[in-house]
Amino acid sequence: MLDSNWLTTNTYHHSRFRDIAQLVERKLERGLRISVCFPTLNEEKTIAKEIILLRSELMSRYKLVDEIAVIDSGSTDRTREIAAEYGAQVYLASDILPDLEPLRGKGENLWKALHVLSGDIIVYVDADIKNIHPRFVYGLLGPLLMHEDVRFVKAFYDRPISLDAKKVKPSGGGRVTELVIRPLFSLYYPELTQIIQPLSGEYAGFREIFETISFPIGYGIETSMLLDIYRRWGMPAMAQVDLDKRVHRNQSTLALGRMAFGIMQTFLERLASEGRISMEDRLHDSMIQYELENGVYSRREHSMERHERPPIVSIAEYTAKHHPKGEGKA
Amino acid sequence: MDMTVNIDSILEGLPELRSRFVGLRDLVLSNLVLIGEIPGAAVTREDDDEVDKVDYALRAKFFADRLVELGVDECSADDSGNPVGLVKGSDPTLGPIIVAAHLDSFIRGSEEIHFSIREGTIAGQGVLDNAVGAGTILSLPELLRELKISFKSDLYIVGFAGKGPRTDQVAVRRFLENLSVPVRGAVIVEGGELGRLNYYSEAMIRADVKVDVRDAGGLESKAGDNMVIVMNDLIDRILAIELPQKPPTRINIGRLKGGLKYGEPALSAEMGLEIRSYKDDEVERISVKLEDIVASARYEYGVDARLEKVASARAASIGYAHPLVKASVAVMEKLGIEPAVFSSESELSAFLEKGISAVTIGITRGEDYRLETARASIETIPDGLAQLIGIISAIDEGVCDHA
Repeated sequence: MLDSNWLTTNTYHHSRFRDIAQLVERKLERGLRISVCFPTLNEEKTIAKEIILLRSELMSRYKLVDEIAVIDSGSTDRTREIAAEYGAQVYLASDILPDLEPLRGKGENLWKALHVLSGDIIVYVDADIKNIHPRFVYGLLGPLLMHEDVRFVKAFYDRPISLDAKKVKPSGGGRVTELVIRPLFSLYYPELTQIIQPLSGEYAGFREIFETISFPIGYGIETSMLLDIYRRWGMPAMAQVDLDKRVHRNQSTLALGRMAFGIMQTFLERLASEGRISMEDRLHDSMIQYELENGVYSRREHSMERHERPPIVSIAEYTAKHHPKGEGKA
Repeated sequence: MDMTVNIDSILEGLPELRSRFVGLRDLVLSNLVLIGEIPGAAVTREDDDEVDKVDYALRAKFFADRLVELGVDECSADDSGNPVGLVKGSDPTLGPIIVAAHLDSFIRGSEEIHFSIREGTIAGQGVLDNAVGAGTILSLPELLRELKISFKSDLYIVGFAGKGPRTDQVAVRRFLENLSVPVRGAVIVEGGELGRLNYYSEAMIRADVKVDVRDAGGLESKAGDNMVIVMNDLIDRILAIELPQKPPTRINIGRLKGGLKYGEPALSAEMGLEIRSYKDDEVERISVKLEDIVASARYEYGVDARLEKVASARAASIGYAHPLVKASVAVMEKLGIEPAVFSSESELSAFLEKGISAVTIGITRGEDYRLETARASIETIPDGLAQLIGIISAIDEGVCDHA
């Protein structure tokens, strides 16, 4: 069953929320704290600008955001130093919940951020955005603050529908979205096809959502998050916001291949655990690619072993800190 | 009446002011990123070749909206679209002080601009010309509020909204023509270079020369239809114009283009040149010669040759002895900035011609001003800000009033 209304009712453009003072007012009325999290790995080229712009605009000029944190996977460049110099809270992921065996990946940083951040709303922003603008954050916060039903907001970029009536543009997803995710969603969860860019790295939501879902560590995080939120809370709890253009590094086709692998891996596991498909054998967990060099094909095998962090409310240290009286747990 | 104005107390406060600006640096950085990343123009295309319309007002619109958002007392735009923000002073009997920066950049196109901030520098096309200047004056209402600085005079914060190539002077002149009150003094803010101090303008004329094939009505064109060859001859004739060593006078041919394809004669060619001198008369004399040269080509070659003057300025100076210049030098020296004096045209000359005491200053140090790799030092921005406030304060104390 496809609720085809969702795309119309729950899709916004960031400009609708550009009255930041109004968002601040709503935030205060609802008594909410807001945290921004940058998961990083070697982002020294872009991190300073991201922090300067968001801090000066959304913390100094307007008191919309209460804290900005960088959760780093162990950068070998100056990412952590620079971030601290420009006033972000900086954490090395492996220092958070140090009793757990550390894992390396973006999902790990997002998950661990929940422990160190104090916000009721968490905004995740990738740290490789060259054209960072405050809209990336206030755009995502808009629907969460202004519409009480909305618990999770996903970003998308560029306009899906051209204003020029003569030209029709594709929906704006990247290659992996259009070649992997949208076909899979069409096959199994047609409602989710309305999410224009399921892989966008910018999203925001209430803590109670993020703390009760599990986080795959690798490429599957964005997909699994959508599937889990959809299954638990349904489309009405989600919204998407057009943030116009995002400029970032481009990935090679081989890197995208590995991303597609990770996504399919997570997707198939989710389907199997839900009983939508049955698998007689377990999946292989390495991605095999070939590269042509001096006329010879050489094989490259990447181990893609799947790790997933459980809902963080199941971690005692987390509940002791965030739900000391046992309240608010889902 | 004692006509000398003592600015010692202003000078004394400058080092402290600079250190307080270090903590406010990010406010300026975010403003300069937000305005500098707005393309110089928005181009709407009919199709791939035909440009439907070009909107040069994007930055001016942002500048005005932002001034309102950041809390000026009033904001409006004059009739050539220059946004003006007003920060009210305490003494309504005094004339206003103008702080201005040009909003257009040497990149006039609609291409995207992304700045990056790394290793103490902010880099990207147009960062010094003039994102730093525009971002600085845009931040003034906020900086003054944060530092609890107020002036007796009203402060006019003006963005000059050049509307594409060759018209920046028009925006400035029109703004000054529209002013109904006598101005106490003006500071024109450029991104860099920290230490520049401009208080005089050379006489200057900028002109475009265009040659096109003319349908000669049966007569054969003497240049065989190749306008590059005609232009080449024009350049030779221009280079043969005698220039005096004194007053220093020169001709610069700064732009040249013609033709479309390797294998075909160029049907049109054009160049842009500038004549400069310390004396108006010299520029006028050369300009007459230039007109003759272009006119002669029209008849000798049988082509359509035109000369179009696109900008001009008269030689003007407030002179080194002017108290505003002296005060600016004192401010710079107090901050350990070595003043560098040279001629500046564009905005400054329009102010000077109007008899307004004005200087142009730079906010920070930089490199590769006009290249894609342009970069500005973040570390020296607080020096530039302290310098700007110092000079405005000196004007507010009255250094220009009896000049």
